[in-house]
Amino acid sequence: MKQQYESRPLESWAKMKELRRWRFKNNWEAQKKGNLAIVSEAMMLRALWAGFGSPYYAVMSVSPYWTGAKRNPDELHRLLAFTDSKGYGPEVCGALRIHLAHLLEGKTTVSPTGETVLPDFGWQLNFCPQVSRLVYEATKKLNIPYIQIEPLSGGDVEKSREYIVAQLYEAIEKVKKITGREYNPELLIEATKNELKTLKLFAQVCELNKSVPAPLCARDLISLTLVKTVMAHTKESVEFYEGLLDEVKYRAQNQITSTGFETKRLLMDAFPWPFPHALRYPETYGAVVVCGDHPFLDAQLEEDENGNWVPRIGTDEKIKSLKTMDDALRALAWLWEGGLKVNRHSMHNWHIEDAAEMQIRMAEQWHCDGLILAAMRDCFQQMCFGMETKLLADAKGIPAMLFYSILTDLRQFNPDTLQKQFDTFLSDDLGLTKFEERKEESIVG
Amino acid sequence: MALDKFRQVVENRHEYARNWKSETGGKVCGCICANVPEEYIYAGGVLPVRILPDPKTPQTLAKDHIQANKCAMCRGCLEEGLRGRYDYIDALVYVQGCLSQSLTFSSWVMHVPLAWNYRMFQPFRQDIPAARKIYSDFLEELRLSFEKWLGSPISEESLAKSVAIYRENRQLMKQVYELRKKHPPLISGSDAQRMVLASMLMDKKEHNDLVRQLLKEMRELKQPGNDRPRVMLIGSGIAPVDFTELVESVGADVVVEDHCLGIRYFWGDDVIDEDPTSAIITYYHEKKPQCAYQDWSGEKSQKRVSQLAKEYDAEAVIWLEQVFCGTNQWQIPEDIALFEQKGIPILRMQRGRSFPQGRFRPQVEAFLDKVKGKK
Repeated sequence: MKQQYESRPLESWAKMKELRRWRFKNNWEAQKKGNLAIVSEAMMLRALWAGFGSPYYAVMSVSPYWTGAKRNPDELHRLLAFTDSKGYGPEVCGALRIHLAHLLEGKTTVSPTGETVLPDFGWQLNFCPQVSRLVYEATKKLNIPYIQIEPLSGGDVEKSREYIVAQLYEAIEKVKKITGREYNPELLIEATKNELKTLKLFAQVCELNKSVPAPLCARDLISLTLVKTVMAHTKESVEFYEGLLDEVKYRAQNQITSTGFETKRLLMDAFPWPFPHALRYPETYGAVVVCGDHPFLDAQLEEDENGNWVPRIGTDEKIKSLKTMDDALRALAWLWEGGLKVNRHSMHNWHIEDAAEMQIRMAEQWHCDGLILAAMRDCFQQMCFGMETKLLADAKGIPAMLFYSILTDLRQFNPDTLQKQFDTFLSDDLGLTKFEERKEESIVG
Repeated sequence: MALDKFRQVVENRHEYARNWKSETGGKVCGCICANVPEEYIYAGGVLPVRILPDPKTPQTLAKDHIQANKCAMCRGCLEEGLRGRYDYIDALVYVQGCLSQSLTFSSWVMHVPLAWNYRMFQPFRQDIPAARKIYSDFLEELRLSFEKWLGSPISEESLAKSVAIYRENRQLMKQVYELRKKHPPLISGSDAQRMVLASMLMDKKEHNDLVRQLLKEMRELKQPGNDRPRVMLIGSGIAPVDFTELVESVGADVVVEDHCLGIRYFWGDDVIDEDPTSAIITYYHEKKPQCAYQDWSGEKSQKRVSQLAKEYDAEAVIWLEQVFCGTNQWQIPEDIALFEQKGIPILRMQRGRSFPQGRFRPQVEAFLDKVKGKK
């Protein structure tokens, strides 16, 4: 099959890998350098802790070895069977069961070289009760304090923001007592500016994927989200996303793609995590996933008053106006409040009736020809509105499929069935033909 | 007999509400989840009615709106709405509990016409003043929206009266539960649960009269002693009256139950507050037992079930989990460890929309044999 467009690997990829490696190493060294070590999952409002001396604090996952386990079916099976034996049922989030297994096995605090780092405290933004429970269990097992910030999933935006701000002040006071450290508002302000900049830059990158052909595929985006997840508040993150934005702009202007093809454009909201290749599988038909819930994870995109998806309005003004600690904490609360309307995860936005329509508008504005929607057995927080989105897509005549899957437990999941569903959708509903030279390729890669 | 009336209302809940509506000319408001501050609704002359699934009904309509990996409670409630079984309700309110019940609310308001609907968010934290403040702010917004729909404000007098009726209801039901502490309990678990369910469906004033009558009947009762094991039931969503009946038919007394349609509906109203609004805030925000989604750390629920087991002298515990209720699945291993440590046998079972007696009965029988052997 002759390529439709030029394809080229991302130059920023190497930098992204470097930063992720640095971050992993730093987690084991930060405390020795006099910085905080925090255990937390899906870190958010990251700038908050920079005020305690340095933005280069450690953000330790309950499972530092999660990615490796996810890639190894035998190890994955062993860990899930271990949590089964401890009585945790199949509806406990599959991703968190890996974390839990590592916690129970005592791996949370042990570095690859065998050194032990005991975090100063655990903290969690309570966007999902299961994630909160995991971190809470970790703090109980490690005998360290637990700090929470509870965002609200709806209601009056101003009041919700005030509620978060009150809790941010409370959290700072608690950590002062726990660690005996002073809090430096200047460091907070600087880190908050970086966090605002990073999240806007990433949103701009996502927005550029509206271009036809798309400069990035979803698999690229998934990996690119991770730098900001752990270090959005650092200058290194800002520099990285500035470089990435320039590169993606160039690719969009010059029709450079990741895949070389774009027979159809798709929205996909999630995928079974042991099989990220599911995001690429439509490419065996020349179709590309260009947007979706997971690929745009935590991106500060919002709908303007006309229903157009744009990078968060008011970010630059917010950065300019940051002068005091209170300004910074309010800006962090503002960032989260964005979660109410920006991030379409149902864990953030319980108004399914709005979320389904927002997802359809996203598909339209990213020029998608179809939607692939996921329902994860073991994730009751996300992807909740797939059925209503599908009904809406059906009513509008937009091809859409919904597949049932799991996050990690391969004992409950048959990739062949999923592949057949994808094949049927791509061939029958979208009218595509699988490329001859990729005929044998399966959804597991 | 009061118990007959409770059974009648639970089994003919739609008929009861329709009759109430035609007799009073009032409006009916559906409530999703146990967190709705019904006192406001009742004070406005509207009958609050808890939306409940019918475990016998296949969920054929709801499956197009809520995916199969959501619990039978949320799909079952929506099924009832989509089938038109609640066609007499004028309004629908949901106060944030778990996300699955929020899906019920979303799909209901998207597909079933209503004169008014409202979704109230709430903080789950109870340990900081800011949480109480935002709860009271959101409650005020609910009240204003409700009054706008009613077309008139709720007077302080009506609200105070409503709060008093609700408090009395909770206290009366608590008195009935006190009599379950007796050896043997003076009321069966299934009858007690039907009383609580009826409270969610009936005019509270009428329910109060019936509970008073029930208390009188119970006090006159002479219950012969027995050696049936005393069982505590823990669960989540769907009211397990059918399951309780099964356990009791096998030869045990269900003496107390901690689930969304049992004590979590009415426990904890023990702080007297003269101001009705403040009383509502204190009860719903601070005192009422939280579900596993709200009390995600499980700290409060574990203390509560531990205390209940002690107060009700439970000799065995059955944890009846709801399929696809992930937050509860974090708690169960800890509860098992807790009761094993106390030397109280515990059985873990899982149910979906309904439960097949053929599978459940032998398990319960074997468990109770073990418990009896231990006695």
